[in-house]
Amino acid sequence: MVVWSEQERSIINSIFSSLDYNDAGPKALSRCLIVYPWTQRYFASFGNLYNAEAIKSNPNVQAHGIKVLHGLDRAVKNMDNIKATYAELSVLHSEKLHVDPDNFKLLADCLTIVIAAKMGSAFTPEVQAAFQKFLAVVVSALGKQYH
Amino acid sequence: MTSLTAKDKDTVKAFWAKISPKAAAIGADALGRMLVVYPQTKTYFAHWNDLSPGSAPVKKHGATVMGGVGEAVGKIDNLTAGLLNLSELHAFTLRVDPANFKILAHNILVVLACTFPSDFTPEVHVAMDKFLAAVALALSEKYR
Repeated sequence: MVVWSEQERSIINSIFSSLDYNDAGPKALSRCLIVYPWTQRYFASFGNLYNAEAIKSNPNVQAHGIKVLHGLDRAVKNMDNIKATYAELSVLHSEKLHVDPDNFKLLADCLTIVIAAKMGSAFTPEVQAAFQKFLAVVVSALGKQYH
Repeated sequence: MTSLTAKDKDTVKAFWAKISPKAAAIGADALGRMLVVYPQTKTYFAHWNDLSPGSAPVKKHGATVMGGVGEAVGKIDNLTAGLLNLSELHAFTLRVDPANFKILAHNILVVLACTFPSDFTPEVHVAMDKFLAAVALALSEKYR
């Protein structure tokens, strides 16, 4: 059972309530595809991913980045039961999308970098710890139904 | 892991030139964050009286560590040979588990994103990530 302090809940809610999904989503996903190019294997149908510029301006990447980021909303609303909340999504990623669960951590790290860049000095060690704890729980939940 | 391309090296050197005036502060911030976000790393600093971000030992040691990173930038064409002494230090004296190099590298990247949001583009991010991984590898050379 994951235990959240009041401070951690407040930090997570604050980050997501002030988040510009249309900006952060595309930035996080495109960063992941650029920094960890092997993750492009899941997006063969997205068209031109040949270089950083192409990835950043690819409309499929942008749309999908927004979609993935909104996928975190359910975890924010159900912080006390993220594992159950994501059971179905975990099955989807395993059985249908065949995503190696190690990749979840890579995207989580890129999202951390994007949020850090946005918040600057407001991304204190305490905020970073809470955010990374949240993402770690999400990553774990998404990997739970793999077999 | 892959080796650094000419483009990687140029990107690292150019970015380092931009950030090096703040190297000590970056190191202090990264180290302070690491001790908070990854508490298991505190085990290496049990001899300090204050492990909180911004404390004197954290600031001093953060500067030392980033000094090492700066040295690595200067020796980017042959990190294994260039960091031999540092590798021996970490292997025989400090005996830091090499998994922690990755943890510190992550925190350095977070600080770079916070401090240089518009310069730390995905292209710079990948070059720096590869570079810090190469430094970690060179530091691990003498372990066994």
